[in-house]
Amino acid sequence: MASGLLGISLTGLNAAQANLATTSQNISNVNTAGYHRQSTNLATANPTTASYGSIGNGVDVASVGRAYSSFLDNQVISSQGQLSNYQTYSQYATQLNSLLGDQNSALSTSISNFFSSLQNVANDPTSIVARQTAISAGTGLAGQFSNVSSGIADIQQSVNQQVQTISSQVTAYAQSVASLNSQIAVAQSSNGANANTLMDQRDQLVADINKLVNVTVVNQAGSGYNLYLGNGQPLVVGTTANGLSAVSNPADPIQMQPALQVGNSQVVLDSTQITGGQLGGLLSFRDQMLVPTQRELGNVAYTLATQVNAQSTQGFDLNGTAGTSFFNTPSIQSPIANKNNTGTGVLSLAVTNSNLLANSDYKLSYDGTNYTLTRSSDGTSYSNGSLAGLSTTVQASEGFSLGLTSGTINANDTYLIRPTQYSANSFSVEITDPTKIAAAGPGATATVSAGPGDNSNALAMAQLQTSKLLSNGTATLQTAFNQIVGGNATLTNAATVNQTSYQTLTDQATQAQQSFSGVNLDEEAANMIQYQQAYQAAAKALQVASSLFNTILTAIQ
Amino acid sequence: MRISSSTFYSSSLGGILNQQSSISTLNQQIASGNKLLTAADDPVAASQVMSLNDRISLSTQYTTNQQSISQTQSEETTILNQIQKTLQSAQSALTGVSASNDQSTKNAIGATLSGLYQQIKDLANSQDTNGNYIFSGFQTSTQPYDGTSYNGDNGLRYVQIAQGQTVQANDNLNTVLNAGTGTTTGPTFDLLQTMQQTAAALQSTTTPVTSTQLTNAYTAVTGALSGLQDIQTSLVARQQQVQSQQTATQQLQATNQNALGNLSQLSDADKASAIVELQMRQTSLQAAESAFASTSKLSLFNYL
Repeated sequence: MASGLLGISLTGLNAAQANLATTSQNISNVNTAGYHRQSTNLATANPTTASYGSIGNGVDVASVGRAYSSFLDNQVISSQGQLSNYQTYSQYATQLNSLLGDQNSALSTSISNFFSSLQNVANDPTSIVARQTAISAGTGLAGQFSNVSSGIADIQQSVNQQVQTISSQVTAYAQSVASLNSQIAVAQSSNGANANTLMDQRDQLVADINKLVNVTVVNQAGSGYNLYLGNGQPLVVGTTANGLSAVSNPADPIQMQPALQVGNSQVVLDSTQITGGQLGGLLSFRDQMLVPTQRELGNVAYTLATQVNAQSTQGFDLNGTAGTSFFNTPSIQSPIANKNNTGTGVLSLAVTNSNLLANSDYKLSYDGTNYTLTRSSDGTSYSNGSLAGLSTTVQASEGFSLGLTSGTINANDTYLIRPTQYSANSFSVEITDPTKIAAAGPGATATVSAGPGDNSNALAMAQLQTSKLLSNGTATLQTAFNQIVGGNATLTNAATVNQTSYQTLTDQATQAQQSFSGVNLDEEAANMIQYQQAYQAAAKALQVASSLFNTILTAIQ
Repeated sequence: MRISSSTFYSSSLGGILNQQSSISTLNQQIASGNKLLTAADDPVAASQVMSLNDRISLSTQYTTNQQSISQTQSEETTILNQIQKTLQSAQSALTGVSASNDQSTKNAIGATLSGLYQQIKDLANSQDTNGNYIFSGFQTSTQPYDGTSYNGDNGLRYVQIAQGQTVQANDNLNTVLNAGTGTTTGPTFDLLQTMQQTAAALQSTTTPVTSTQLTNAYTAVTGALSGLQDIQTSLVARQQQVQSQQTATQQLQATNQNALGNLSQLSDADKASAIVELQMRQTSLQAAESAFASTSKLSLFNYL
């Protein structure tokens, strides 16, 4: 290596070139996601010591660093995770909301129309037109119920698909993080240099994962980033990534749930463990809105059909024949046995008083001695040594009875109970012949018999509209439906508000992070001029060295 | 503060997009005239709107019911008034005849009475516009009076005119006519048979009418008139009940409609303020756009 003036000038040229290279790297990556502004760190080269002191040997390019602040980056990552959580939630909530209809909901109107048509039958019980209209109104109502419930089923399916897609995407990202962990370790150990680009890529991957599911990042010296899901389930440890997949929820097989494969065991994660990212949004939307809406809608459908039927079968039709059911009785969901049950017990369920049904799921468990039924919404529980005994208690206070159809129940077996979950799916009109509407009343006496002009049963059916048939005698069919719409509107509104506030937070965090790590083109332009001038100056020094050498050459010629 | 180039672009763009989304919402509100575009816009107001909608549709049905029953009631009133007039004619005919009158007078009055008998029978067999018999209780497809018996029943229909309020929709005329009892000697005269037999007796020379028969017929008609009056009085009371409920329902309906409008629709004042806000947003959007256009041109690279 050349020494003296020539050598010093050369280090200056090298340094200016390195600076210019970094600057143009920054300029090129101005729009690259996850790029952190780089800068060349210079240090004076070790001087040559002489008796009179030391003379510098120019400049060394010490390192190329990146403007990285884990605090600022983590703020962006965590607020972005929450933002995508609420974005997903509110996107699905809006979908469900528009399915149920706005304040002028089609289903609510259909309920009104149906009862109005019964009033018209009561006004003119012999009119075939009025009776036909009542059947059409009932059919229209059934159509609305099936529209909404098939829409809910579609959303349900879309959530399941999303859970699958996100799980496999998270797995792919996690594998990339694990492989980057090892690449970075290799790069850093081989030449001790900062693997800036690889680290940028890894940070960007963590940010991407966090948009899908919230992870805790632990940066462990030597092994790189360790990522943990939920309550500390390891997604990436050093160079190993654990796969996230979608599996059927053991308690409710229709719902796909993310599960982490750790070694030989599979950990199923639920909405209490996954609280952020798109996956968190999906799971909490399903638990807070989708399942309850389907269940409550089913409750309204079941109550409407069974109450109208109960009244209808008490009356007589236009031909004086005893009345039949107006609607087909909607289905009731039997208790769902948990996949992990060791027993073979199959349970049956009958709703005995839909007015008592709570707006909640129930869980039945057996500990080997006692059967316990727990209401999920508030933890109210009932225990009894026998299933029949429990059934009697539950029937009196919760409005349904339980029985063992076949098999045996073992200790630690559990069952999920949602009686009206799918009742709205199977809502349909049974009567097709308008004369079969049982408008005539049951009050046949010596002086009164069920004649064609008798409207008392039609009136009684119509009056069910304003009877408080649900929620323990506090809600009519329509108020119960309105509560579903209102409750969903409130949750949607809250999700939108949260989305807006996390958008603001994310914007602020991103601005702060970008303020530190982002590229400013004007700054880079200024730097470029500065480094260009440094290069020109160093070149000038080289020229001086050259002319000094020429001076000597000329002198000794 | 150091601003990165990407922040400069993204924040300028964010500002412009926000203004555009506000403008779009305002446009939709103004175009539809609705404050609440979805229930989630204002959940509290939306649930009020839903319960108001339910009440309005109930009131609408009650109005239909009220109209239907008041039509029935006025039909019935007309028929009862005609029966009353007929009975009064019978009463005055019976007043003007005695067993000792000559046969031609008795014949004439007998013929009159026979005609009146037929009229009352026809009136009691009246049908509504749908062909249903009005006075046969629940047996609306059966003709109630054939002159000797009553073929209807005592069934009373009720129609709901307001929440928790039903009103009787038909009357039991047979409490007045007592058809089928066969008694022509009181106190519960079979009116139709009494009239028919008296008319026949008046016109008969073989079994001439007795003064007891005439007195009984007079008592029967007078009794029927007073019984009819009871029904008429109760009918008037029910008509008044329906009318006052009609007024009440209309008022309620107007109040609810008004409340609904206030909650869900943009008033003129709201429209004005929405339009002003729209104008304001447009101005800010233009400002943001032109600021972006001019500041984004600024780059040091332009001078190199």
